[in-house]
Parts: sequence; C-alpha cells; structure tokens
Amino acid sequence: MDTIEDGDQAAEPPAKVKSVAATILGEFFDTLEKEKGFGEIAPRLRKVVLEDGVFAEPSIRAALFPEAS
Amino acid sequence: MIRIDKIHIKEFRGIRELTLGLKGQNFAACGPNGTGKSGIVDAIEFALTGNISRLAGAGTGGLSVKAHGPHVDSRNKPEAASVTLDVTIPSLGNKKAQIRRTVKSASAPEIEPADKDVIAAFESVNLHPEFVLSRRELIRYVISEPGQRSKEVQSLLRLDDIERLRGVLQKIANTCTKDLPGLERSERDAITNLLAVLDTAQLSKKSVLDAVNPRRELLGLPPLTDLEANTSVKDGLTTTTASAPGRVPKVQAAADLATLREALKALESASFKQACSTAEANAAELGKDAASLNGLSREALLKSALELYDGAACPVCDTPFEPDAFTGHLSGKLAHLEDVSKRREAIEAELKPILDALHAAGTALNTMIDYAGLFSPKIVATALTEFRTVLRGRYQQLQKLLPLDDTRAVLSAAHSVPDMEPSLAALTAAIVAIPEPTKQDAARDFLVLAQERLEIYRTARLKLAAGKVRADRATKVFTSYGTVTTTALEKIYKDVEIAFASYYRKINEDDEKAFTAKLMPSIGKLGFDVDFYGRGHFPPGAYHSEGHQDGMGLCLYLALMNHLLGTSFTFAVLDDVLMSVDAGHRRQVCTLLKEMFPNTQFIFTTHDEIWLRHMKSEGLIKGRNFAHFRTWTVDLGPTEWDDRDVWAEIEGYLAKNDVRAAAALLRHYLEHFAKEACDRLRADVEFRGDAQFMLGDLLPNATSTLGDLLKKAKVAANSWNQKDVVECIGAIEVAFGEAKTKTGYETWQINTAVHFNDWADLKREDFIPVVAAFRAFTDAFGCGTCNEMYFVAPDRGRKEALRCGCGALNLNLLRKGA
Repeated sequence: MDTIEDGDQAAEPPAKVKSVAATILGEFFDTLEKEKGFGEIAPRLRKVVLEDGVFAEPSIRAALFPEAS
Repeated sequence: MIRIDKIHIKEFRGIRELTLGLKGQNFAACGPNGTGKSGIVDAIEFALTGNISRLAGAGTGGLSVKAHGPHVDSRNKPEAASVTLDVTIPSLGNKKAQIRRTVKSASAPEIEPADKDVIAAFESVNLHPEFVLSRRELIRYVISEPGQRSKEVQSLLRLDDIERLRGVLQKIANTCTKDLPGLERSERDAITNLLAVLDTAQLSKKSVLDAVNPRRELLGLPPLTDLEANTSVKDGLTTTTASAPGRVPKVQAAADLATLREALKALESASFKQACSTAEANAAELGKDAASLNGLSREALLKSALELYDGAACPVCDTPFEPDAFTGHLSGKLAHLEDVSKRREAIEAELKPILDALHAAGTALNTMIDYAGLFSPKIVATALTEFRTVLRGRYQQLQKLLPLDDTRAVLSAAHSVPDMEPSLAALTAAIVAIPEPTKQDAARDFLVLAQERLEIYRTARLKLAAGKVRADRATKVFTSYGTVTTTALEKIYKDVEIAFASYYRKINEDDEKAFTAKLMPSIGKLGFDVDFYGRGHFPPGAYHSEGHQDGMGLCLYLALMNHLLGTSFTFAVLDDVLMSVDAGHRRQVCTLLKEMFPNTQFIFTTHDEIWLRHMKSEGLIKGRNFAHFRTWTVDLGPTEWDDRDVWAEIEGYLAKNDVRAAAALLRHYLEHFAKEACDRLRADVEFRGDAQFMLGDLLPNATSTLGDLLKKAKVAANSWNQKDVVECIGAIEVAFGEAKTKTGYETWQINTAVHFNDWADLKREDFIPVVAAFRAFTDAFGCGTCNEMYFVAPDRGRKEALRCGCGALNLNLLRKGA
C-alpha cells in the first residue's frame, strides 16, 4: 500500500480515540488518588478497570481491599 | 478515524459489483427507493465493523449478516460477498490502508498494511459504530421518552461502562455496610461472654487485669502489667485442663447459667413487652396504608434486585438489561419511595433493641446447650434447643420485616418464653454437683476460659474494625464516584447542549436566532427541552414541526459525535436523513456541515434529487463525488445515471434488437441529462410549479445556453487578446455544432409517440445512428479528460467562467473592462 512520502508527518503517534466513559473513569481515578488513604488503591482500581477492562465484582473488591485477599 | 477513498462491493446485499470513488471527500448516493443506496451504507458498516445494523436488533426477526449479507444469488457463497475499502488515516499522517471483509469471515478483516497503528485505527472505528446515522435513529434522540433518550444518548456516548462500575461499587458499598450490624453484634456477644467470665460489668484494660492478676498470683504467675493486643492472660500456665473434653468449669458455667436466666427474664420484662407492643402498633398503622404497604414491598424488591443484579439480566424476571438502564430504572423508582423508606427506617430503629434482646437470649442458650453436652451423662436440653430455633425464627422475621403481618405476629409473641425450668434445673443441679474446685483449679479454669473468650473478642473486634474500614472505604469510593461522574456527565451535557443549540441556530438563523436548549440529566433520565420562539422551553415534540425536529436530531447527533470523537470525528454516514427539512434549511445544513465540520467526510444517501442538487450547489458535494442511481435489478444490481451504464445498457437492448426499450432509455436519460445540464449551465428555464419538466422544456435551453456561453467566452478571450483560447473555443463550437445538427435530424426518433408505438417499427440499424448522434451530443457538454459536464461558476450571481471538473476547460466569460 502507498504511504505518504513525508515520514515526519507520520511520526506522530496516532491520537487514540478515548471513549467518553474512559475519560470520565480516568477523572474519577485521578480524584480518588488525591484523597487521603486512597493513594495506593486508586492506581490498583485504575489498572483493573481501565487497563485490564475488568468490571467484575471480585476483581474490584480485590483492588479495593487487597488486605482481605 | 478514517476517510474513505474508494469502496468496492462484490456480491453483497443487493449489489453484484460496484466501485465508488470517494477520494476521501464528501459523497452522496442519490436515487429512487430500491436502487441500492442503503446497500452502500450496509457495505461501509460491514467493512468497518463486520455488522449490518439493519440485520440486527429488535424487529429484524431471523435476519443475520451470515445468512442475508451476501447477494440473494450468492447465499451459498459467503466467501464471494465482500466489501473492500481503501482509506486514508489522518491520524497516521494520511497513511493509506485497505480493509477487506467477506461475509464468510466477517469477524476477521484483511487489513493492509497490517501494522499495529493501522489495525488500531480500524479498531477505533469499530469501537464507534455510531458513525452511521439513519433517519430512523435520527428522531429517537429527539422525541423518545426521557428514560429512553438517556439510554440512546448514553449508548451513543458509550457510557455503559460508567453505569457498570457504578453498579459494582454500589453493590460493594451496600454489602460492606450491611455486614456491619452482624459484626457489631458478634463483638457485643463476645464482650458479653467475656464479661460473664470476668464477672465484671465493664470491659476495660483495668477490669481485665483486676480480674486476671489475683488468679495468676494464686497460681504463682507474675502479674500482667499491661494488656496488649496479643497479651495472653494465661501466659506461663503449663496445663490447660479446662479445655479438656467433659470438663465444665463450675464457676463460669454457673455465671453463664445466670446470664441465660437474665436474658430470658429480659424477654418477659414489662419494658420488653412494651417495646414489642409499640413496634407492633406502628407496624399495624403502616399496614393500614395500602399504598405504603405496597411501596414497602416494592422498595424491598427493588433493593434486593439492585443488590442481586449481575450486570446482565434482571435477577427477578431474568430479562436481559443493560447496566445503566437497569440501575437507572430501579434507582428512579426507589427515589419515588422516599417517604416509605423513612417509615421503614423508623420501624427498624424500634426493632433494634428487640432484636438485641432476642440475640442475647439466643447466645446465652447456645452457651448452655454446649455445656449440656459436656456433662457426663449428658443433660437433655431439648427445650433449650427448641426455644433457640423459635428465637432464631423470630429474629429472622423481624430482620426482614416483610410480610408485615408476620412481623406483627412475631411482635405479639416475642415476649413469650416456654417453660424450660426442668432443663434449667437439671443444668443447675449438674453445675452444683461439679466438685468444688480448689482455688488453684478455679483460677486455672478462669484463666483458660478468659483467654479463650478474650481471643474470641479480639477476633470479633478485629473483624469489626476491618469491616468498618471496608464499609468506610467502599462508601467513600462510591460517593466520590457519584460526585465525579455526575459532575462530568453534567459537563458533557452542558457542552453538548451548547454545541447543539449553536448548530441548530445555524440552520435556522432566519427565525430562531435566539434558540436555546436544555439537557437535564437526572437519575437514569435525560430531559431535553428546547426554546419555542421565546415562549418557554418545551419537549421538542411539543410545538416544533417535524422538519425542525429532523434538524434537531441531526444537530444533537453532530454535537454528541463532536463531543465523543473531537478531532477524530472524520467520518460519518448520514443515511436518508433530513427528509422533512425544507429546501432553504437544507442549504443551511450544507453550510453547517461545511463550516463546522470541515475535516469530517460525510457520506449521504437520499432519494431526493433536489437535496442532491442543493448539496452540490452549496459545495458540500464537489465535482463528480456522487452516485446517481437510476434503477436496480436483482440480476444487475444498481445502475447509475452515467455514461458507462446508460450507453452499455442501450447497446445491450440494441444487441437484442429491442429498439423500443433502447429508445425509451435514451429519452429517459436525455431528460435526466437535460435537467443536469440546465442546472450546471444555469440555463433559463420556464418555471413550472409542479416541477415536471419535459425534454422539450429543457434540452433546447441547455443547448442554446451552451452555445451562448461559448460565444460569450470567445468574446471575452478576444477582448483579452487570447488567440489560443479563441481557437480552442472555435474547435469546441465546431464539434458542438456538428453534434447538434446530427441530433436535429434524429430527434423525432426519440419522441415518445414514436418509441411507444408499434407503427414506428424502427429496426436496430435505424436506431444505431440515433444513439451515436446523441452520445456525441451529450459528450460535447463535457470534458473529454475528466468526463465531467461543464458548469458555470459561480453558481449564483454574475456568470464568470465555464469550467470542467479537472480544469482542462476553464473559459473566462468576462470581457476586459466589463
């Protein structure tokens, strides 16, 4: 397939279309991380939900209460 | 997102084979119903997502892509049914790529180049199947019920994940909070039992040490100076005889029996009776109000359903539900039962001390039943066991509250205690009969049992503390989630509301310059009111016309898509939208799309030629970037109003010596051609109110107009002393003149009176020169390089130039000094 001649133009990574839901969830995790006592929990939740895409209750519970697992 | 350069469709839906060049620009497919326009939409959607909306969802019965995606004659050849899209990907620096999908392997597209960026770009399109907007969907954003609209909009914005997580967090928070009373009760029971051993009224470090240290001293153990979380009160004790089977510690057993008697006495006390009576009266009062009673049942059911919902189907009726729809619907119903919730909470508060008393009696019974089994011979404690079962039933009924009549029945009898005296007397006698322990033995038993109960208490306390932490954390997360998501959603709706209103004002700037709109989110619903000429805000269906509502649907869609994709909104298919919008407003729609979405490639379908003309004249569709469908047959698929299809088809008729059909098609084509030529050359045509123009109304005007324009161009070229241009125009005039003359001789043969009558009896040989003459004649109206018909620029006002699509012809019509 043809590609454009000017490689510089193509060098920029593609703008990944983020769903509105992902943006809102991201805002929530940012807010939660700033709350006292949630500095470690928020990134764990973010990973489960946004990176792994898991919304199942056991996984969310495990992220919220790692001491119980 | 992408822009489509070319579509190649093969044996797909109603299309045998079709290639459309879109060049990454706006494109329109126009034609009467049943000529294959929607087949193109299906093809685009299929190539990009593997699905065809028209064959999925409610109301489609047993239709499927697999069975009905291929052309009807290729049902058994799903591998032959394919769509190929050549695309440009702006986010990758306008990289070119291709995606091909066959019905046989609908879920596995062939992508070239198959590098990860290109694959990701196609995946991102697949994530947004809402790029196709059909008329049936357009209106649903506008006139649907608030709850349904919320669903539609949230579905377009893909907010289902927000509701899914909200549901899970709420469930966790509810469960954690619900666990607390049980944990608190366990801790209280553990304290009661510990206090019974210690024979003290209050649990404190000092009271424990004061009870423990004298016993330790008796046993020669050093006193404990502090009581920490892991301190053992029997530390240093070498034997643990109290825990040996069959051994009942006399002192503690006597104390526990006393506790049981106290608990049973408490159940029969006047104050307990009064508490039960008051709660029963209030429950009776609540039961009299049928609405409240019904509400109470509904509230309990709704709460249970919310707690048990698994994110897929209603736990009560097993109907599949989207998370946002389910939680939103139930939360909305619960909100209406606020008053009932308050009355339930009041009764639950009254029941709490009653439940505590029942629980305390049950716990004391448990202890004594255990002791009964330790004696040798065992003491029969059937009465105690039976009453424990009765108490458990009472406790469970009061906890669940409903049915209210059962709760009332329990409350009426909650103070009744059966005669258990024979068992209690037997236990008393057995305890008395236990040999009096030595002081050392008693001290040892005390320390062992105290340690055992202290550990139970510590475990219960830790569990309660952990439960409180969990409940607190889960509640905080859920509350924070609610705040953040509500704020974000309100902001989205505000942004969309502003963009929507501005778009709508743009297409209605003649009379709705002050138009505003209100999107009002609430639990599970999205209210949508629009201004009606300054008279207030109303639902869009209240006063606005269907045409205005169509416009609103498009504007809301555009505002949502713009919000959803931002700069990635590079591509949208508008399938037969805006049919109720009148001509003037459609021009404004064209302006809106052109000005506000310059980087978005729109693909339109319409059966309205005038709409296509508007799109062309407003510059939304440029050059030949449209397909004008003429007919569709099951054998051939769609045919276009273009040279390739028309002349080939005429030749086909002639080959079969079907002159009548060839003549009819030629005339039909010339009517279409004349309309197009008059439009492009801005010919003067007598106005007809019914818009029904005959060939004679148009073709002579188109012919004379082109002649006049060439003359005018020649005059202008002479005035600018452009001899080469004058020569070029001269050559065009000659060719045009010859073509015109030839058709002049033959025109009678395309007269409807001829080709619809047998007497004409034209043979193939008679008609071939006619076709050749008209083919040369129509060719003379366009460029030999780009095949596009000449047009006058600009399309309004003073005529300045005669041009073709590729620029090979660009004749100035303005004389020097004009």
